[in-house]
Amino acid sequence: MTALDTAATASSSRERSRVPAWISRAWNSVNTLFETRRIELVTVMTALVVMTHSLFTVDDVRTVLVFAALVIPAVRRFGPFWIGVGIFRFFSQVPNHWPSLDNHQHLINWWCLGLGFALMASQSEEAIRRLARIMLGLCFLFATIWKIRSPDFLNGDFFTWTFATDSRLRAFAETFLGLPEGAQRVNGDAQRLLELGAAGGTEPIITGSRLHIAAIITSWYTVVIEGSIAVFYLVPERFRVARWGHWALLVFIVTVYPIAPVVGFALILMTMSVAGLSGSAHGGNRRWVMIASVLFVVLPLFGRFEDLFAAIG
Amino acid sequence: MTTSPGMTASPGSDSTITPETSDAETSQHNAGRPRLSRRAWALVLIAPLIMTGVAVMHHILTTTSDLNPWKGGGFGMFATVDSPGNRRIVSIATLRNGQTYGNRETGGVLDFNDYSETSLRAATFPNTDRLRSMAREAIFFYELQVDDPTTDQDDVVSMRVEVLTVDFDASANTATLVLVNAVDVAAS
Repeated sequence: MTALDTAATASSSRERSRVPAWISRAWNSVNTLFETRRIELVTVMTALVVMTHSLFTVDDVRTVLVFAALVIPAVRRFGPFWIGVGIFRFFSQVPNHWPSLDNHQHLINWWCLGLGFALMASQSEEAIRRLARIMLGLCFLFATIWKIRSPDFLNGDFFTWTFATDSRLRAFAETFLGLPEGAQRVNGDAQRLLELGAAGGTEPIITGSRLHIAAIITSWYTVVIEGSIAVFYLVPERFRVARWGHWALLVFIVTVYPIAPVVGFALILMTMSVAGLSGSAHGGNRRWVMIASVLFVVLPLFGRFEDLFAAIG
Repeated sequence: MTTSPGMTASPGSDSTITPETSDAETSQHNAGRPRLSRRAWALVLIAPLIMTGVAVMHHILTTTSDLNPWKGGGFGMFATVDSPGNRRIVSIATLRNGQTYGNRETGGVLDFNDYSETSLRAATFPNTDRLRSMAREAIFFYELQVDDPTTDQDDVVSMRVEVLTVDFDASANTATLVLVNAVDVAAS
């Protein structure tokens, strides 16, 4: 019996007394997959993301290709396959549909491409891990730079506008931020009136002091959490903070995506985060892999939080 | 010791595995992590370099050519009120009799706010060439559908295409319509 098996058995015995058996079995299965077949776990997660969050592709081709990756291990471990998926996605999306393409679709393309090249490296597992950390770090670095240099982000203008006009956030804004009931409808009318005029025209927007303060706090929180994730993933791994990236990412996903559900983005971030974990079997990584697996299933439900807020309101 | 295919394990790297870790264990684990060869690093860095190249290009185009920060792969989404959804295209004709034609409420002479790929491209990336092309399209539409052939007084002299966006000031609680880019094209 290996040290890993011993540790897993001991851990499993402790957990069995506290949690139902099926949870314990699921915990052990995911951990075993993570410890012994990391590439399998990451490529399966990637295949699921590509299958469920592709736009404008030829559906049949995409489904056949990625389903092949799900059921045939040799396919999903074949670097040129993922390079092909990345290139196929690029040419089926970017040339004709770039104006409506969300950034996470680009990120999925680059991840497929990078995954393919990393699988061709002699130390493929370590190459994938390094790739994931660099790409996560760059993604959040660029997002942070944009928010800092934007003239209307840190002063709260963006989130005040969003809370006051975005119908997806209406229930949240009315329930928790003091936006008067019906304000979004009035603001929508104001926006339409504004668009009827020429440049320079102005219209009043209903907000509220509590909402504005919340918007400023939200803006700074977003910059701090995104900037932190960038630092945690890009800093050399000899520094202690390099181990905090996936926890900071978890805080980001749990606090941001229930309000602004961009599920495809969250799923590709989770996939890359699992890929970027160090190879040790320590408890922090185990907990993270289990949380990531649960979130991978639960995240698509996040869009339903709008209904929950509406029910509370 | 359990290793994954493709992973080169060093002696002692996994021999200290316990359910919880300490700094010493992590340091030991880090020390045992396989070093990537130069070729492996080259393969790893291809996608991040493409990603960085796109982000730099995105930054240049948003600064010089009014590319919308939300689109184009540069991660500027949720950073500004100026989203593609808040941009609006208006085409207004100037006629020989000095009057203008085109109701702003409906997008002007030709409604480009129909969520077609053409309108999305123009709203997202309203460079001058694209707007000139739309102005010529609006002139063609006017001459075909609106122009009265019995008089030259309503002939179109020039067509103006504007891309507008919303600017919001939370301290004053006012939204202002601002010009992103505009072109005037003379009718031939």
